[in-house]
Amino acid sequence: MIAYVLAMREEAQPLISHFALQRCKTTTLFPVFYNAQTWLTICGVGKANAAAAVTELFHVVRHKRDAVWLNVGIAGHADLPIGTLRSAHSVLDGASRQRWYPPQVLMRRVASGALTSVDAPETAYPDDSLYDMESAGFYSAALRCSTAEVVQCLKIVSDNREHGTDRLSPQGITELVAAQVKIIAEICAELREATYSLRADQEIDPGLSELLGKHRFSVTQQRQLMRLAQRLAARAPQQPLLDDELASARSSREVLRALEQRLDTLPVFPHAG
Amino acid sequence: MTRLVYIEDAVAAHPRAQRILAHFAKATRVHCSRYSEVFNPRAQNFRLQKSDPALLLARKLNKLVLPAPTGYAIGGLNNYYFSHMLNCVYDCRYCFLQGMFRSAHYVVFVNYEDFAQAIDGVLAQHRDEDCWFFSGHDCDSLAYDPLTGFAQWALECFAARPRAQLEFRTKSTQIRSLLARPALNNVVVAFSFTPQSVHAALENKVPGIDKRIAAMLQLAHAGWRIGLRFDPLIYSEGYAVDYGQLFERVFSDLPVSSVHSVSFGAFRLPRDSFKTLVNLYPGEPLLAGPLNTDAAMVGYRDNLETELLEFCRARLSDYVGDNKLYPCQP
Ligand code: SF4
Repeated sequence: MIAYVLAMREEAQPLISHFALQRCKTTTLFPVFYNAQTWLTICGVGKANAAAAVTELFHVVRHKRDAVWLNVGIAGHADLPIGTLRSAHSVLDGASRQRWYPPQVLMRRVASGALTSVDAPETAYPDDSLYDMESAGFYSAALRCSTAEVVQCLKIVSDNREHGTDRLSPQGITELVAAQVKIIAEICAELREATYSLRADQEIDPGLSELLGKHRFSVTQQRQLMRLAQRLAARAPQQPLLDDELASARSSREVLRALEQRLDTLPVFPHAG
Repeated sequence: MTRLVYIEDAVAAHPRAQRILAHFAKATRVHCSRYSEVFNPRAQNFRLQKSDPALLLARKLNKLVLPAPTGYAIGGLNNYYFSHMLNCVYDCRYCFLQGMFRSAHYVVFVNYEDFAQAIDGVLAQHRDEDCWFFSGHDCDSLAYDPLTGFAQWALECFAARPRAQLEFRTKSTQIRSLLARPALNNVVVAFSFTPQSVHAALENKVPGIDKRIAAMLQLAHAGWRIGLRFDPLIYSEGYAVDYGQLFERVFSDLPVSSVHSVSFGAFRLPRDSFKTLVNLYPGEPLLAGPLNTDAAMVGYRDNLETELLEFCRARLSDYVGDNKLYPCQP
């Protein structure tokens, strides 16, 4: 799943169109749009709004843990050309001076830069940094929802010393984001792939739910069952979980014992030989 | 290819940092005040980071030299370790660093001079006694050497401190700095090996066994003292054949007189590290094996462990005798 957090409707529109997102009918504090895999919320300007919108979206998507979280939006920079796309390798809260370092290990497609989150528009651009108003709130909140490698800020330069904020129009903002939508979608797809690859070897045999439905497992036993099924899948990936013995087990305890016995018959180190 | 280098402000002008940075002309440089701001935060995934780790150049501020864990000794009484680097360019599935660090980025502490001072401090505590210093606890001592220049510095440092014994521990073939100078008799270069099947399955990016043996023989012929580390020993139904062949391969051309020490220990991990590894790699057969997961130190169930250890001890003893053999178990 991908969760986008954007400040303004003008920034969001190209993504809403690209992913054919529809408006979520549930009452929410911030507008939410979605399709099967993608969620987007428009948080308004400022870090408090961004943090609140992340929190709300996290609840809307039912606390999904391994989602990709992206803050996309426009930013100022002293001298980067208008339209340049950057991911943030550091996010500085200009007010508190707290700094985060989003790992860039999966961000191979885009150059990175420093990003400073300010409380009022920055027009002097004092440092070699992008300037926005949401990233600190977004990042600190989204970091609680997923692993840091897939929590990222992608910024498009909208103003610089030559081309100030006074020359920004709503239409211009939409066009800046629209020009980068394809690459943003590709980056997101890569991030999502990475989370899938982590999940791939956590996938559990469908026979597990059959067992859970048939017998009463305590919470501890459920945990044991999960790990035994995982161990079986690791050491004998071709073997289905359910065999005759498990199917005929009469209690949760018998299921666990049968699984342990089955593991004992498998080669210890299947790579050898 | 390292795309991102984080640099602590305090070492930005350090000549060693500058030399390392020269290798990464195209990398993006990110300044930070402490490496721990990048390396230590929660919510990082070691496995994801391992696909493309960044480099951190930092300064080690305290605890530069620490007592070595039990089971590390190879004949000495006073055993310490120090780490010029955290993490490793290789990716062994059994590596305990994966369970110890939250980040897979490589940290290089460039203030080697401060390590020398700390080593002197330890030597001063043990007047008239030898002290051992292990350099491969938190990294592979030599794998990153062409960039860090650690070996050359360490050799100069230990050449001037005959009471200090140094162990390089490696799975690499980066031995140029050692071959460039006469052997030192207070330095042991220890090579770690596992059988071919284990190497192929679990030691991602590690140079092949024959290449490492060739490097080891070059050093032995140049007069360097060699250590052999069969740790972790990995159990399989065919372990006797696999380890038998490995030992034969390793010892066939190696003069026993060059062998300083041979240590061996069965696969084991502290329980917390083990749990972290299972979370990172739930589909890894090694971690799904017959292990005693309730123990503080997770390892093979007793009978398997004993069988494996006894076999290897007996075989290794045939090659080098008992007096050079050191079991790694605490
Ligand atoms: S070579 Fe050693 S330090 Fe490096 S990954 Fe393998 S076990 Fe870990």
